[in-house]
Order: sequence, then C-alpha cells, then structure tokens
Amino acid sequence: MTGDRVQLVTKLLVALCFLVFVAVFLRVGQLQLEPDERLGDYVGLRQSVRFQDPVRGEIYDRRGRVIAATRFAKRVFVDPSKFPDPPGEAIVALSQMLALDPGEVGQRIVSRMSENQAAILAATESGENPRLIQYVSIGDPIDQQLAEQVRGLGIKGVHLEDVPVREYPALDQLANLLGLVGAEHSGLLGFEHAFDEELTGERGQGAYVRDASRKPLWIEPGTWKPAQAGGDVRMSIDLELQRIAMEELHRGIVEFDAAGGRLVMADPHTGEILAIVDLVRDMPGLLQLPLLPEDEKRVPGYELPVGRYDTIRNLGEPEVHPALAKNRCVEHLYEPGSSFKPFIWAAITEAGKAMPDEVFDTEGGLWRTSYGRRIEDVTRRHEMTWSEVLVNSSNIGMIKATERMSFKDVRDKVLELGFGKPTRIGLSTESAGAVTTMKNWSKYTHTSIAFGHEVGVTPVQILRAYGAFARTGDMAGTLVDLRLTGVDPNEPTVVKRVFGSEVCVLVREALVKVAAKAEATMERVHGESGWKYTMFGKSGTADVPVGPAPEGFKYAKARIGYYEDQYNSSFIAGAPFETPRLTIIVVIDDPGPEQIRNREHYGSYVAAPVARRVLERSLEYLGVEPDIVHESEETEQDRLAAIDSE
Amino acid sequence: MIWGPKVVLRLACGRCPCVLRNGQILFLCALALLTLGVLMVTSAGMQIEQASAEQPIRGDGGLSPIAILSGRIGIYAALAIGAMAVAAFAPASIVDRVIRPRPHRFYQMLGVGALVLVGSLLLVYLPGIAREKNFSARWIEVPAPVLGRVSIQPSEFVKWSLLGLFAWCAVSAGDRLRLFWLGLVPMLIVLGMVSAVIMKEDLGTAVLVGSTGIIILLAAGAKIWHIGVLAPVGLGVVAAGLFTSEYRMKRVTSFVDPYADPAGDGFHIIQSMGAIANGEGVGRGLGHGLQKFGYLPEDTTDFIFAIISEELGLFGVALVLFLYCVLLTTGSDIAKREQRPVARLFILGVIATIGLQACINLLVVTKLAPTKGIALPLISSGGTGWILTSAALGLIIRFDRSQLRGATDPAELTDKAEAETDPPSEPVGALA
Repeated sequence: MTGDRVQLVTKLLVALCFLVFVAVFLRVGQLQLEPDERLGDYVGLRQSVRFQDPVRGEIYDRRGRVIAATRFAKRVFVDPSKFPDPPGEAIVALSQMLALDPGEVGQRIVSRMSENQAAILAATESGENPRLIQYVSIGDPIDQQLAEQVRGLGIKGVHLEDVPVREYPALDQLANLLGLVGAEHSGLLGFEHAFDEELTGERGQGAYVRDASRKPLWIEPGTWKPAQAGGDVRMSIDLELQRIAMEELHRGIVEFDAAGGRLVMADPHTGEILAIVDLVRDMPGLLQLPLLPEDEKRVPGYELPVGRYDTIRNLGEPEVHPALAKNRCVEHLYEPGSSFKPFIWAAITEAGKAMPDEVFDTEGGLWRTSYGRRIEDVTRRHEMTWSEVLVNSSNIGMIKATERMSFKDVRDKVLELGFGKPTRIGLSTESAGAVTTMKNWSKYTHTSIAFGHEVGVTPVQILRAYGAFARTGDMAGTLVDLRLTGVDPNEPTVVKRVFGSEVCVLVREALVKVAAKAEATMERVHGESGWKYTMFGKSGTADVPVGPAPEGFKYAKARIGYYEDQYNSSFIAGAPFETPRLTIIVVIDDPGPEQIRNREHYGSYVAAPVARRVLERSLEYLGVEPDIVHESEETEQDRLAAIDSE
Repeated sequence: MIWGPKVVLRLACGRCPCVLRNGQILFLCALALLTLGVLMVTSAGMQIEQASAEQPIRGDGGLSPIAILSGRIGIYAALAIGAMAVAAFAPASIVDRVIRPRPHRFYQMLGVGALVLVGSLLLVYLPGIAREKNFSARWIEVPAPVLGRVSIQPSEFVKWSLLGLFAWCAVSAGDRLRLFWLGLVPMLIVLGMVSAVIMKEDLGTAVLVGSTGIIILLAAGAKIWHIGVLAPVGLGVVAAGLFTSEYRMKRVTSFVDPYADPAGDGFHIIQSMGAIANGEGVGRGLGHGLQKFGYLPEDTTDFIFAIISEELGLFGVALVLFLYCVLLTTGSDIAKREQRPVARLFILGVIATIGLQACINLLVVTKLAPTKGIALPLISSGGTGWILTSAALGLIIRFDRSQLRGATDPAELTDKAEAETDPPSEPVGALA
C-alpha cells in the first residue's frame, strides 16, 4: 500500500464528484431556464379560479322607495357522495323540514347517488379517480331560521350556500315594467333588462393555488379582484302615482266592463314617465277569430260567429309570469281616433290653413268626400267654427281642413311629433308605431288621419307628443328613458319645437271645453264634481283593428279589417291649465257590449273619468296649488276672514 | 488544480491571522449543510391549514425559529452536531489505540466484524422491533428518551461501521492485500455478504457500500486487475437485483420515458423535474414552493434537492454543490496530510460515501439517472443519517486536530505537507 494510491484514489473520487456536480448544475439550469415542453403541464401554479358574484344594484322609485332589492338567503344542497346510505330516513327528515314532497326530494338525491356508485365502479375498473356528483340543490332558498334548523338536523352531506334573492316589494304595481332576474341573476326583459349593465356590477375573481388534493392553499398575490356591486338605479316612476293610477284604471275597467286598460302619466316639464300601467282583465268566454291553416281553402260565404272577441291576447300566447308579460303601453299599437285630432288641428292652424274663428260647413253631420267616402259626426251641426270643430270633434270639419294641407306636410308633421319611431324609454320590446309610407299615402289615408285612423301609436308615443301642448309647443326632449336622471350629461338637451306657443294655447283652450263636457257627463252619471284642477283633454274612440293571423294560419274570413262593434276608448289630458304639471293618457280596451248598446263607450264617457280622477288625486299628492277655487270654499274663507277681523 | 472551491474559501478567509483549519472548515460546511437541511425539510414539510371558526389562525404565526429548533427536526440536528462534537473531541488516546493496525488480528477482526454487521442488518426482520415502511423492511423501532419511539436504519450504521472495519482491516492486512486468495477475497466476501443483505431491501445503499468498500481496497493497495477480474461478478449481482425486481425495472423504464405514464410510473420523476423547473432560475422563494403540497412525493427526504431548486433557484443549487465541494476538498486535504494509514483510508471512505451518495441522489433527482431512493447527505430529513454522517465527519475533525499537534503555525504545516513528496509508508506510532 502506498500513500500515492490513497491520494490518487481520493483525487479521482473528488474529480468524479465535481464532474457530477457540474453536470447536475447544468441540468438544473436547463430545467429551470429551458424546460422540456412536455414538462409544461407539470410546472407552474396549479390554480383554480373562483368567482364572486356582485350584488345587484337596487332599483328605487323617484322618491327613493325600494322597487327591487337583492338579499341573500340560504339554499340547501346535498352532496350525494356523502349522504347517508340508505338515505330513506334522512330524505324524509330533510323534506319534512323543508316542507317538500319526500318522493321528489328522494328521486333527486337517490338518482345522483346511484350515478355516483356507477362512476365509482367504472373508476375502479379503469383505475382513475371517479368524478362524483357533489351538488344537488334542494328546493327554493330558505330563511336563516329554517337554515339553522336544517343544520340542526345534522344529516351528513347536507350543506347550505348563500344565494342572492331578488325581492320586488312593489311587484304588484309594476309587474310588467320591471322584468325579472334570471338564473344568473341577470335581468330578463323590462327594467331589469334595460339597465342590466348598470345594475349588474362587475364579477369578482381570484386565482387560488391548490394542493394535489385540490384543496385551496392561498390566493396568489395580485390575482384577487373583488366584485363590484352593481349601481343603484332610480326610476322616474313614482310608486304612489303608480298606485293611484292602478287603482283608478282598475275601477274604470270594472265599471265599464272593459277587457283591459292602459295608462301612462308623465311630467310634461321633463318628459319623465311617472306611472305606467297596463291591466288585462281575466274574461273567460271571449271569442277568438277562427283560423285556418294557410294552405286550406276558405269556405265561401263563411260568416264569423257573432259575439265579443278577445281584442287583446293573440292566439296561442302562453301564460307567463306577470313580470314577463307584455307591456302594452309600449308594445301594442292602437288607433288613437279623435284624440289624434289636436295634433292635426294644431298643424293646420300653425300652417295658417285655418283660422280659429273660420266657419266650416259641417254638412249637418253627414257627408260624402269628393271620392265618395261616407263621413259622420257624433255632434251633428250645419256650421262650426274651426275651434268648435276640435271641441265637438267634428270629423267633417277636420277632413275639410286637412284637405287644405299637402300629403307630405301632414305626414311630416306626424313624423315630427315622434310617431312611427320608438321613444326609446328603455324597454327593449317597444314598438315603433305605424305611419303610412309616403308611397302608400292616399286620399283615403289623408282623410283617415284627420280623425286619427290609419295611424298606429303606442300610449307612450302619443303622450310624449301631447306634452308639446302642455309646454309651449316644444317636445320634452330632456328625459329619454325611465330613469330619474336618464339623460346623458354629454348629450345636449334637445328640445324640439313642433308648434308655436299661441297655437298650443288655442289647443289647450279648446281642450278645456272638451274636458268640461266630459266632466259634465261625469257629474251626470257618477255625481262627481268639485274638481280643483282645470283639465284639458281630448277623447278618442276607435275601432280595434284585427292584426295579422299567426304564422302559418289565416283567418277563416278574408279581409277582416276591424272587430265588429268593439272599440278602444281613450282620453288624453293634462292639468292644470296654466302651467300643466301632469299629462296622462288612458286607453280603455274594449268597453263592454252593454256600454256600446247604450252608446256609452266613447272615450269621453269611459276613459275621461279615469284620467280626471287620477289627475286630481295625483296633483293633490304632488302638492300642486289648485287653480279652481270653488264658491263654497270662497265663502267659507270669507267667513273665516270675517271672524278673524272681528 | 482542481481545488477551486478551497482556493475561494482560502481567499475569503484571506491572509487574516486566524486562517481556518481544515477541521474548522469541515465543521462549518457540515453545519451549513445541516442548517440548510433543517430549513428545507421544514419548508418542504410545511402544511397550510384553513382557518375556521373552530380553528382560528394561530396567534404565534405558525412556524417560528423556536418552533423549528425545538421540533423533531431541530432535535435531530442538535443531536447530529452533538455527535460531531463528541467524535471531534474524542480522547486522542482511545482513537489512536483503535486505529492502530494489528496485522495478526486481521482475520479475527474481519470475521467478528462481518458477523456483527450482518447480524445488525438482520435486526430489521426481528419481530417486535421491525417496522416496515414503503413496502421495504429497512427500519427498526426502539424506544428512546425524549423522542419517544425512534426508528433507526441499521443499514446506515453498517454503512459507516464497514468503513471503519475496512480501513482497519485493509491496513492490518498489509501486504496480504495484494494476495488474491489470502487478502482480497476474504475482504470481498465480507463486503459481498453485507452488500447482499442490504441489497435485499435497498439496492442504492448496497451499491454505495460496495463501491466505497472497493474504493478503500483500491486505495489500500489491492491489485487493480484482481478487482477488475471480480468486477463482472459484482455487476452481475447488481443486474440480477435489478432484473428480478419488477419495481426496479419500472424505474428504469420510467427513466427512459417518464411521459409514457405520467400519472403512474413516471409521476415521481416528472414531479421532481417540475419542481426544479418551477425555480425558473431565481427560485420561487423560501417557503413558496408549490410542489411540496402533495405533488412531489418524498419531498422532505430523497427529493429535497428538487424543493431546494424550486424555492432557492440556481443560487440554492450552487450553494449546495459548493458546500459539498468544500466538504470533499477539505476532507481530501485532511487525508493528504494524515500520516496514519487507517485514518487516511477512513477519511477517504467517508468522503467517498458522502460524495457518491450526494452524486447518486443529485443524478436521480435531476433525472440523469433512474429513480433510486437515496438520501442527500446532511440535508435530507433523517435522524440516523444526519447523526451518523456528522459523527463520521467529527472523526475526520479529530484526525485533523491530531495532525495539528506539533505544528504551531498552519502555514508551516502546509509547507511541510507540500514539501513531503513521499507520504510515510509506516503508520505513525501511538502517542499515548
């Protein structure tokens, strides 16, 4: 043995180790800086992303009353992989606690349990980890107290989660305006849909690192973004006005045996809609127009059954939640009839084609146009001044004056007033309305438009146009949607002048007389009088047009234009006279046959009382100073003053 | 020269009057490695728990230095340092008497030694104290004060004891070692027996023990061709051990293509490489590793190096390698200066054991070699391993201290050692 040997071996050994260390260092460098692509799946954070749903914003009315709010409730869910087996007892206990049918609950749980068992069996064969169902929701969200009781049952695999629940304290009053929130807490239709973006807020999310058993370890710094709660939205609607409107409209509908009614109330100063009501009465036994498949031949000489037809619901429309029902104030068109006359009247007067005191030959109330169309007036007189034409709603006078205008001028004015295009108040299903095209504008159209036919409007549209009379001839362009502050600050306030202010005063003066006539009728029929606010309004009564047949079908009788003896009676009004604070449109759909037999179906008869009552109550509620001082009150005040002075 | 790291260390210590002695460097290296071990084992063993109403977040902030040092790992490290100190400060008289070669007792000691070693290896099959872990019987469990029941790997004891036995026997055999039948074969028989018994449960340690034994024999002067002739026999046994075991074969196949079965056989090595790759050069930061959370098996023991790479990056890797380099060079320097042949061979055996074990572990973890369960010396969690390795290093420090006797100036000692071209062929006599 030599020392050299030991030293040599030692050196060789150390050298070998150094070589290995260098190789290892290089290898680590390679793995860290240039790893194999195949390694990619096994490198880096094993992250899962968890989302946090934002709390949806609340909806308030214009005075801050809650219309829609979100609260959190508990929902019971079951992890079938942990649920007691056999599950019988646990299912009975759970469903008793939740007041659910044990059969249904059992079906939900047991079916998943057997699916899980099958998955485990399959997994043991393939040697992979089984994918188990671990979430079965049970029933609707429950309150905290019941949740505690469920927890108290101590059943394995039964858990509780927080779920947002949307509450509508004023659903009854706002049903088809609000819409609903759907499964993902997103707005469906109506207001919830229109302002979904604003209400939703932003979803929060965070990536958390998980260990091999998928348990969360920590939230990776910088990845956590908390949810942004949705913004609150304040509607222009006033719940109290809405309640008054609903009450009175309902009263009117029942009183006149109508199939339904619509009401929109607005503030003419801003154009904001304060109340919007659409009621449909449940009336069994109404007839539906008989239909034939499109390819079938009609029976010659077929006559429609005589009776009262359903003018509101289309055939085959499914029953839906009231909040998802149509809002006919913006969706359904109607022919405004005489309530359209003020617009034409004002246009003609503005154009100087007729003077207020010009006398028109109204032919004793019965006339044939130059092309032979038969025209009738309700108030039959031989002569009327141009003002009286509007007050008495003379079709003949209106037509004669309208003929002095060109087709284009009339049509342009109609369009200028906003008919034929949606008002965009923020409800997605809004109709544009229908104005005859220039090409199809015939003499016939020109005659019809004079008394509000051959034009389809929505109540919201006509009310906005009517706002011009309540102002000084310009249209309220400030507020375009249903929010209290719906106007975009960057968008200049567009005030569109459509009439001169003198013309508007003339129209208002005439309409006060129209309203007074309606009030007189009201006093006669209902004994109601003593109004505190001067109302100016115009009634309208129009036949109800038959819409197109549902797709794939045709009506059994060809060319049915209108329902026989069924009407839409409307009244459009504003009050008080000098500085109008409210405008309102009331449409009574299809007043009852009894009314029609007695010729009590006119707008002034069925719709005016509703408008009158709503205006009166609403103005009082708003604290508007009355512009009519009654004598009895005067004397009372004098008496009190006299007592004071003594 | 190849002693780069040592030069660096010498430069670091500079020409300051208190230049560190080899033994001190060795001690500091071992201490550094052990400290890194405690740190990384704690980090790899870290668990994150979710705070709940029943178990709120603990006010003490979880892991504190005191908690680590007073924990099981800290106690093992303390015991290891204690063992190193005991060995380093063992009375020189006893040490010298023990390492004095006794040629006439060669066969006697070889026989007794072999019996004791094999006997203690067989303890793992003794009912009552045997404890099986991971399907292999490598452990015995005995009651111990403070720590409760302690599990010990007899193969660890044997690994180090064999070094001593071989170093002593090889020197005692003297010229007989150059004889095939009378010297080499008896020693190879003992080596073979011990390795074979270890191999039954632990191929890696068996290969390590066998290799160190051969290295000692070669260094002691056994004829190279003698060993060369017998090499095929040893390799054949290793090959047999490999091919007769299904799981060892799987390790080889998964080494060739781990991605063929990434969720099964290839899982372990892929996760190890994934952990290393996660370091991305700078490391994820101490405690911030991800693979330790259930992805990488054996993260506190055999695969601790992957966690070091992940958390400390290339810097941590360089530090570990540097410390091993210093350990090996310092050890070999002590061996070079050592005059007593038994001590020289023993030192060689210790650095061979530590060096080869580290090499095997590093090659495995970085997938430069097939998966083989073997600990990273002084770092991988393991009480027995830490204590015995430290004790072995303590003995080297003991030898270093003995060298100092008589030399007043380290520089003079260095000069003297370098001046000696021919190391003494005769053992230095006992001082006692």
